[in-house]
Amino acid sequence: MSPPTVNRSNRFAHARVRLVSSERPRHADDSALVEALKQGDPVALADWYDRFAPDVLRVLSRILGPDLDLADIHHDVFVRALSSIRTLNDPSALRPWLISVAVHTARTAILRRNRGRWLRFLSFGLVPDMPAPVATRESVEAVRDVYRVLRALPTDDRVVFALRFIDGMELQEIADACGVSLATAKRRVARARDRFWTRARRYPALAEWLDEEVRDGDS
Amino acid sequence: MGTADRSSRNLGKHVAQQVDALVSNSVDLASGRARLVDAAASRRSPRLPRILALAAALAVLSVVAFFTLRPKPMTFEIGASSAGGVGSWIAAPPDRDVSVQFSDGSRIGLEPGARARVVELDSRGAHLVLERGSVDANVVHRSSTRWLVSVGPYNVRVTGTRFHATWDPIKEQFTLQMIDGSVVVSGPGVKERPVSNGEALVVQGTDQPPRFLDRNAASSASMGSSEPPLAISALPLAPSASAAHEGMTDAGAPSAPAWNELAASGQHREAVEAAEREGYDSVLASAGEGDLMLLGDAARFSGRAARSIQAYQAVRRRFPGSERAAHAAFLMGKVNADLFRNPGMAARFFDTYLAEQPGGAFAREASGRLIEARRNSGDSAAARNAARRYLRLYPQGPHAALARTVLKEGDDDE
Repeated sequence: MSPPTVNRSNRFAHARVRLVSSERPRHADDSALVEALKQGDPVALADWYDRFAPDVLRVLSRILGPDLDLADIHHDVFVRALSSIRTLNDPSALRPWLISVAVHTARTAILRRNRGRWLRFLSFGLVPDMPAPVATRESVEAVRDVYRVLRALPTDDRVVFALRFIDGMELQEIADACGVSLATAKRRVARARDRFWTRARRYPALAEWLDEEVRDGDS
Repeated sequence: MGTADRSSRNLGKHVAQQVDALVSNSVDLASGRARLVDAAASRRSPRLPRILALAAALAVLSVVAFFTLRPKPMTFEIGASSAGGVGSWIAAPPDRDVSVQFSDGSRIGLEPGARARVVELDSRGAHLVLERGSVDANVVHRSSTRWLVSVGPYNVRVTGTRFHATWDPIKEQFTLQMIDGSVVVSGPGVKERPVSNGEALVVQGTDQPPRFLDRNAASSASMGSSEPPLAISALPLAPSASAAHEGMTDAGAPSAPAWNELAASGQHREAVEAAEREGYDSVLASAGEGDLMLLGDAARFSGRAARSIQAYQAVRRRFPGSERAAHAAFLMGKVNADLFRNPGMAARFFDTYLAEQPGGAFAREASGRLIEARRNSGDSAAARNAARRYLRLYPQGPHAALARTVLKEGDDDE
């Protein structure tokens, strides 16, 4: 499978700057940060959040799409992670470990949404601050249809498709985030991609993204 | 690089840009940090262990009280002497009635061909699910009586009464005739509606509005007798096509074609054939939303599964996001389960309905049918998930016993 395009340069960068520039982090390295978190240091907590909140938000939003409950789910990730920080033995793995917590939380959120409890997919028609340059009707429709198709896929397929193709994660990163082997991650990504396009063909806003060979059946 | 990969990456990049643009304006990370710090501070509260200990003590006391003080649940017998079990089928043979006698003196008579289950029993009453056919119910009134009879998507809450109920799951026709006392009915189109002595309720399909007949109308429909059950065929016919679907066709659409009238009058096979003569595809392309549902129902009732799927799909394609589009998904689930015997596909449609109408009129039935479909398709993990969800939302629902069985099977497997 080809290397992914990394879609990491995102609009959350400004959030990172705003947060970290307001106060200089006092726990610069991960070991000290993890140790301080285990001790319940509130300053470490803020440092930890400032460093990783944008990354967590990016992963969540790309799996779930724009969602009214995103802020709550984002909060849940940090609460869950904090409650199990003592199980983190290798401080250098802090970031991938936190991302895996985020992926797991998103997955749980999808399952809960499938039970019809909480998720209200944000109506794109009601989004007030959609930046003008990218807010054409066609582009909004394409995004909405992508998440429509993803919602119809099995949860694991939805997660890996979003991580691989929307977030641009490497396969090994996906494997780590999902807690599966590299081979399983590869299989899941291929399966998710095929299932996605099988459904996506029916949506005119998505069909135009298909290469000609794929349109002809080479998926 | 595979072409599908390239398409996925290009589309994914576009989606990432759009989502980032939307989300960056809607989530305030500074507030999130403050919220996290607050949450962490409250987690460190030293009072928590004491509260937990108190809660544990109360839980133990509650369990002890429950087992020592609870009243004994009712029992029931099927026929002359066969003891009945919760959850098992009670089926009347085609040529005779079967009587179910409860220990509180209540009696349920299943008429020939009827099928039912007692899904729950406690000291105050029972929950009976009528799967098909007719029952004659005589529930003894006591101050704490709590009986429930589920008929398709309808619930009949009983406190002490005599009534006759009939359910045809294929045509989704439901009739309820009160002989004595009163009940409260709820379901699609009916919100906690009392039905009293002599009155009747008639539903000619769960997507049709229910009709309540007063004493005079009900007794004339049942030919003057208060005892014999009210037969569906004895009731006034369904309204004409134009009346039954008033407001359902699109404004400005051409007048109802013949197939529409045939379908509304219950001539389902003829209706589908008439639509085929007219050109099924052109009907699918031009008929209004309500008419398409009518056509889908006619095809379903006449066993034309593929034709019904076509009609329901047309509703979803042409009227996406509407309540009927979700209903069409639910009905496609039923067609796949009951006619195509394809439980995997059925489960997908039930899932679709629940995602689109989580609180919809058919949510409870879709949730229950989802358990069956998942189980029948061999996906035991998904069946357990569906069962857990069902019990959380509908602990007294008609599929609750099945849900518990599915969860128990899972425990046994592990």
